[in-house]
Amino acid sequence: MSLNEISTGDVIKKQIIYKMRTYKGAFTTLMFVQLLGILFSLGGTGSFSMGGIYTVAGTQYSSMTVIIFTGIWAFVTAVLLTTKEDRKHDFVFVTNRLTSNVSNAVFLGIISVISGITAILSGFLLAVILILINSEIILHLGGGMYGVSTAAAGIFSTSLYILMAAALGYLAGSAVQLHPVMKVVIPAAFFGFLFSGWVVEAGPLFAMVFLEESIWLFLVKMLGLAALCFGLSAWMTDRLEVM
Amino acid sequence: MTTAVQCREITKTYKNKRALNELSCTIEKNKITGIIGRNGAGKTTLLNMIAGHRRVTDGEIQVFGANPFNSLTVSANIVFINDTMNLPNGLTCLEILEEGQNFYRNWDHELAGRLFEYFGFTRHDIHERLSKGKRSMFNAIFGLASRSPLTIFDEPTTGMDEAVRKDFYRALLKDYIAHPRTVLLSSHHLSEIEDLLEDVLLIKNGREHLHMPVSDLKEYAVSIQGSERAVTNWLGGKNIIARRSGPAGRLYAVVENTIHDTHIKEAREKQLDLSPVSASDVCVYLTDERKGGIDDVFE
Repeated sequence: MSLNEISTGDVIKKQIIYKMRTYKGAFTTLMFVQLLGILFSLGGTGSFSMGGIYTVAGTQYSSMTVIIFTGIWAFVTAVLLTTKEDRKHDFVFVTNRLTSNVSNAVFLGIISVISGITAILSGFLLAVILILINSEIILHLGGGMYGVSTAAAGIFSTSLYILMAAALGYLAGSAVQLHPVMKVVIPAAFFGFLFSGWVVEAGPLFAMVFLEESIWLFLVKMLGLAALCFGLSAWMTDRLEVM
Repeated sequence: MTTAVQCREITKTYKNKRALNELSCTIEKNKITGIIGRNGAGKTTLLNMIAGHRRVTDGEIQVFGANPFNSLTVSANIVFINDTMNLPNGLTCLEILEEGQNFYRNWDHELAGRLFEYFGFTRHDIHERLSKGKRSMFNAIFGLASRSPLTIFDEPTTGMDEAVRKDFYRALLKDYIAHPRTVLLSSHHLSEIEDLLEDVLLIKNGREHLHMPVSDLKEYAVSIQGSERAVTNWLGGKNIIARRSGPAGRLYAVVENTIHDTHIKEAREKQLDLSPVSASDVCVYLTDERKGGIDDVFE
């Protein structure tokens, strides 16, 4: 029997298709998570009041909760991809560690875009629900909901934030695979950082990275950071055994 | 190139334990080779390294001329079926077979479908929820249908009932004859697979102990039985593999088959019982580490 030659690109493509099929359950989870986010958003995220002769008071609603929930979902999904069980599944079919990591990264990129779209669209769903439950409501749409171009920009940037969450999850998951002690070290480092003074000092740095006026510059920064996370993960797990 | 797998003094250590100890072997292409050994001899470790799942600590391993660890070519030409195999639960068993078809160039989907039906699987079956025997059977179907140039079955029949086991071996043999390929088959039970095998690689304490055609193994040893004194005399100078004291001054011994007609005549004259030893018994005797046997534990 002669040997079969197969190209790396070909295998990656097949693995992405395989992952889209086998992780369809992740999309069900996404639906629940976003519905839950909408539910929590129904109470409003802030209120305002403007005074003069007449006082105008109102409530702000936003899909921020949905976006944050989606980010957490992406993080967890990415961590699950790095677990021993899931890595083993790749090795049932044709793979090496590189194609496994690359296809995971592309898969996470795809689900980031899909969940970014649904997260922004959930804002419209929220508006519709508000109208349905309160016929006297006066809605003023703002943010990413005013017109097609702002919605597109909203989807674009939201997807990039979600991708960032996924990339960080993948990095954390890969580190845990390298040594189980990371299971304790990573959360400890995260919360330690959160409650230390450093988080205030690092504030401007985060603002510089994550709050960007130029959408293209933001794209470059986010993709660069995500690539760094995935690259680091691939480098760490390239010698890892499958058991 | 007629070599499928070449191992040169490979060693594998886990933390403090040495699973393989400078094992060397050459496995030829298009043969069914049985990997035989006691529990913990290193069979699974060896197969894991051939499949590229684990790294060698020391030594060199080549599969189709390449280091299997991280080799895409090796992965594309190998299927590794084992009893702890985990398959994705996001897919039904039937969908897993469809994925197999996408990945493996030689995949025979018609065969997969027919075996799937024959062994009573349904399109809604999920791998995790199958019984142990059925799970093993499904894994075996996956391995057979992939038609990989190197097909590895590590304890494929765990949990299968007798009838299914026989069916599996028969399916393997039929498909192998129609599409010759290199097959590695590990098992504790050589007697069950010896009719299927061409070669046997016997592993003991992480090393290759014996590697020969199964037909040679069947003639590798003879047993002699009779009164202790007569047997002891007869044994003089021969390579003894095992020795057991029987009841009332009788002795049973297994020796390497280097005997001539004169030995046979001598045995007959002294009323000794000379008989062949089956291949599977040879393996048991060769890999026996404890002196005596289980009987001695109770004495």
